[in-house]
Amino acid sequence: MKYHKYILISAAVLALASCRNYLNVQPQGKVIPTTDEEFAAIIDNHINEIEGGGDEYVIGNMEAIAKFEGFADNLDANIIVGNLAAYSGDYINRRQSDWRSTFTIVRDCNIVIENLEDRTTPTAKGTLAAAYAIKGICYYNLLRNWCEPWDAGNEKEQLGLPVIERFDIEEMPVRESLHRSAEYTEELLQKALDCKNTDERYFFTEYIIKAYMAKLYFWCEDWDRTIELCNDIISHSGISLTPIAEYEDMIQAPTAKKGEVIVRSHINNASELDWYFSYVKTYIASRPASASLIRLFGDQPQKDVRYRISFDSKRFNTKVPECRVRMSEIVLMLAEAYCHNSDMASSLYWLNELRRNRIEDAKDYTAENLPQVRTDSRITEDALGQPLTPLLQAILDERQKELYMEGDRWFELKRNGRPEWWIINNGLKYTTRKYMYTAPAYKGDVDLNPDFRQNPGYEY
Amino acid sequence: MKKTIILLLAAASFASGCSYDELPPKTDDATTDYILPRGVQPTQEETDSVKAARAEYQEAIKQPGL
Repeated sequence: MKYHKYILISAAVLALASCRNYLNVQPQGKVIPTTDEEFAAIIDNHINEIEGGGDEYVIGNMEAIAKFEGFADNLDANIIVGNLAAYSGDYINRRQSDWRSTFTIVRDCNIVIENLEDRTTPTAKGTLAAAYAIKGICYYNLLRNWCEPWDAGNEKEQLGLPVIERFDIEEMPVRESLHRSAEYTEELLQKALDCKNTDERYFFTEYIIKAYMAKLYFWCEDWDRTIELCNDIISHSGISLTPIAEYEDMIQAPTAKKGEVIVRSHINNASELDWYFSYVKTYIASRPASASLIRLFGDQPQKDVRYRISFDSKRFNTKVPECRVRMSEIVLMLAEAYCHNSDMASSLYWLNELRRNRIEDAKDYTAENLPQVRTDSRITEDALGQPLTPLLQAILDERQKELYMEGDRWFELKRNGRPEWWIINNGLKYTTRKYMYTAPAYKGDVDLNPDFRQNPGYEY
Repeated sequence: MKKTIILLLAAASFASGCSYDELPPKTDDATTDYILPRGVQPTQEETDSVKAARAEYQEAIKQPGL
């Protein structure tokens, strides 16, 4: 009896002192994916976000445009600040959260890639192609936002991104070099291309991936490969520059992918976010275009179709603000790459080709009639740190007009010298400093790992 | 005998207990935000240039065709 008592007590003590893991409640209503369809659902969710216009971090959406046009100088905050970020310094903390949101998408892609790599069903192959493409585009966006601009010759010392190959909750990766990060981004896009997806249900088909690859080469100043790939897209994609007569219909299409558009978000004509986009459009149209942008259209601005569709009588925006990659951007990258490779004739050819499709009675530029370099431009040096030439200035001017309200200008300022400038808001002056062109990484990652380096300039 | 059993029980309860959950290393500052740059007082020249830009804008939007 005496020993029975001790045995009972000891059993009770052991039971009470043992692990509490049984208290951990398993998530209810969640499925740990195992089948092709369940993995496909992870990627379908991101594709639905892109198609509905909710995706801010892969192709981008109106919210992304409002953010980057608010940072940049196409619109003039000194005249009216409106309902946009007064300048990039206001969004420092929001941008570190963007880092986290982008890596959440990378995590989803990694889960899919790890599990579907060896499967051969059409669903698995299409989903895998989309996962590689989405991850590759996320890394391209991370490079542009969270790394300093490419500095040729120094790219192996410049700070890049953590290269995350697989989903591992305990891994604490550090940041690789910019060179390695760009190389990894290229590998991802190449793997997406190798999947040879032709099924539009998986969204990312050959020329969409090639367009992003061309953008990556361009950002990394690899002019030869930019030229090769842009020529490939122009020659074989079946897409050509949209002429003046069809330009407005293409640009102002609320949801349709028309004309020269290679890829765009928000193609769902009944998105549940449409009510929200109507607000974002009014925010964007609350700050007028800058005088310097308007001057680029010359003495007869109405002859330029881009001017006619972009501004109302008070210089507020009227262009449909959607994120897209268009043939015009491919042509402009090609013209600039030729220019950096000292092939002036080819550069002028493509610049004039674009202008003929945008400006009525456009007079072709020649080496002799290019406008002189202005002294009051915000951009004064090119991507290589050299003073602008008349040809390069003409290319950058066309780019600013063409890709106005498509979220491009902020990255053009970053790529070409990161100029500093200021705005006055509520009686105080706020300056866009050089370091602000490179967004801060998520502070939680910095705190967790002492070897994880934050971008310079950010203090807490 | 009784003492031995109590000691054994105590030892068993220590041995069979969970290891403690490791927490992320504590940092000096738990804030999740970075300091936003502060605005500074503009010079008179800077204020004048903004006034000029606003005047140019007001003049420009009066013109028909813009």
